[in-house]
Amino acid sequence: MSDKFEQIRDEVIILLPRLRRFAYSLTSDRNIGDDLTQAAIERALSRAHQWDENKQIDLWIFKIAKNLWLDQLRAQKVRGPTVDIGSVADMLDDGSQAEVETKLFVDEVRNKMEDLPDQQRIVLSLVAIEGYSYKEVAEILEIPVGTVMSRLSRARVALVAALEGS
Amino acid sequence: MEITDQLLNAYIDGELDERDREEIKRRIDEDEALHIRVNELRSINETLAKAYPLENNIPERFLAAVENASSVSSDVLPFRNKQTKEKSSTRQWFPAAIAASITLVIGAVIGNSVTMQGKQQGEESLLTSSIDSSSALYEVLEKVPSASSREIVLSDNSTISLRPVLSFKNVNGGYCREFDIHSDQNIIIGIACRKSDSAWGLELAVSSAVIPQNPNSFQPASGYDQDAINVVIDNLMVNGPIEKDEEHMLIGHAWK
Repeated sequence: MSDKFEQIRDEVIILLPRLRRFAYSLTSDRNIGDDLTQAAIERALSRAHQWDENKQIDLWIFKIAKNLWLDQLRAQKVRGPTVDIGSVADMLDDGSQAEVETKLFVDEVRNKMEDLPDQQRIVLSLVAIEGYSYKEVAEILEIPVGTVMSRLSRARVALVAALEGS
Repeated sequence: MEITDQLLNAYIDGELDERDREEIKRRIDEDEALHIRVNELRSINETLAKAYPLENNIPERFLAAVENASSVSSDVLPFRNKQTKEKSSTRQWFPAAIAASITLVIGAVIGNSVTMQGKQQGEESLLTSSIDSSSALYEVLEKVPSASSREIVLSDNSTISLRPVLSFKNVNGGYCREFDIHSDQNIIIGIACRKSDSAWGLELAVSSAVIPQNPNSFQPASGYDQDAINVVIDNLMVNGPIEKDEEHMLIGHAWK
């Protein structure tokens, strides 16, 4: 078993919570997000030999997740609305008004996030949630830094406006 | 310099060089409207962190995917070796994630597997909190090495397969075993600990339905079910799983 494989495997285990969060932020659905995460880790492990050791592993794995997601988007151009059963169940569980309001708010945030153009949402997710630099995002998305910068700005501005309006 | 939203965003994200950063900072201090705008934009990070919290309970399916990719093909499916358990220190498990599956499942186990087994043996139950010493499960826990299966044919000609997964010493100095039971309909994963009076007591059992498309391959329990098992094991176990040789000796000496 190659060293590369083992390095990737160790990194995958460490990255799992973040990969799931990233996938959820892209797909707006926990189950679809988890399927994406699983596909990404399987692909990363099966293509370990393709990883260039001079590149950051996490960026490479995020790039794989991004490519799978874009494939998915292409495959299903028409997406129906998804209902996140988890969040509905969460809401029924709890009594307190404040908690319910918080849940309504985060659901609203996720809805607005889903409304963003795909290419803006992914940039915002990588910068604002995952904390990657513009340069790192440029590497993951294979686009120029300037494009990252403008998409990020449009995304954040749009989200502020959307949340204000709601 | 014209202060655009793009510049403000780059400022928030720490992407400006020092000169631009100082300049923007100065302008924000002077201009109340800019100050408000920056705070609005910055608040998005916090908002998104709330909407997409990092969840540290990782469903077992992902770890299984990692492990399956790494292992050379093997008949022994969920057998967890020592390396795997050591890795579990990198995971965190939250009780909240497991409560539902536990309640759901104890009932399911007693309802299904138990009656199945009861029919054959003419007894009321296989799995009670103390496992009947005449039951197949007791025999398996007592005698069968981890990762070996024992098949039982029921009166309706269906078979169930019982298998110890691993053995470990518990915090009270006794011995426990994780096991699984496969039938056509469901998979039960459980933990039993041996009591001082030779009885095996059931600590936890989790059942999940078999997905029919793949009758020949092992279908892992849903992530949360396996999480439940892992939480219990992690809380009970000291010093990791028992090695093969030691387990062999314990089986030979009736777990004394």
